[in-house]
Amino acid sequence: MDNNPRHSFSFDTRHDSPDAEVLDYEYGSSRQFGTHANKELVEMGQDFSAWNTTGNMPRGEFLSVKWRIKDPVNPSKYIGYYEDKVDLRKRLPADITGFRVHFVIKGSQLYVYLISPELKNTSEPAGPVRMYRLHKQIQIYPEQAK
Amino acid sequence: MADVVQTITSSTGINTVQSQANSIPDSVSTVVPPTTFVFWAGFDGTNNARDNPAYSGDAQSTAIGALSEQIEKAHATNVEVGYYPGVGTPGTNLGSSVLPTSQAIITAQDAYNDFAKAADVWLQDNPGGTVTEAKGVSFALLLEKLCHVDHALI
Repeated sequence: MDNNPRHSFSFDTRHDSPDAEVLDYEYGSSRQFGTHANKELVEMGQDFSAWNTTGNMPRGEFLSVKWRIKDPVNPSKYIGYYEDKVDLRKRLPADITGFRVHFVIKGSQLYVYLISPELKNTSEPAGPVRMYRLHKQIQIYPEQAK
Repeated sequence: MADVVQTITSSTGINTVQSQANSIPDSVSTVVPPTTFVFWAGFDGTNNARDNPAYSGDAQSTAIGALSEQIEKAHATNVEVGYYPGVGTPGTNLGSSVLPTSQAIITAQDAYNDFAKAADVWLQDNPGGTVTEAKGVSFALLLEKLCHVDHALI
């Protein structure tokens, strides 16, 4: 199996969740640039609105995210601080080549989507991640009832 | 190749140069107009990996790392980031730093695909806006060809 399959990792609060500010994130333990937040900026209290890496990188064993939610009445204040760590080892396909791992925040809940390189059928409704709405999207966290 | 005229070894000298380098982004007065969408594609090259200075033997950040940090700080809604570990970085095709073309084409196509999706969404929200791209030099021709010749995106 390819130890560094070509795939993508991304998030974009500007499109997906404007009320959320990402404070830290880490996709797997590789420490490869583009798979985690800049620690210097994290220590400075900087938040992150979006990131997108595509290329050869180790498949993430986990996804860890810290975030806060803005007060809708007073956007300079925050109504909650949250963090979640998702075990991806059994959630990602055996061959992740060409796929994208994309996370979305909705309030206190983290959602993780697997975006397929395949386009969806035109008869199917668009997926929840707008940027990749023409592609097949699978919610891998939280697990959906079957 | 440029000649080395002086090697700075003292910590004072290094700090002075680093301070001057850090001031460069602040001296830029031109900003991206709100009616323009920019896709910034960062390509790290051979033996450059921002978080692994030992790989290149240089403790300083790569240019891509420094630029991406500025973009992250800016929080611009009309600037989209794409980072592409390029030829010769850890995990890319064996020998890609020696014969880079095939890896470069794969990477440029990845960047183009991301650019097209991001531009499409931005134009839906900003009809009539202008779309452009910024990119690393080594991939410029390939990305230019995809954007202007093959698909006429810009």
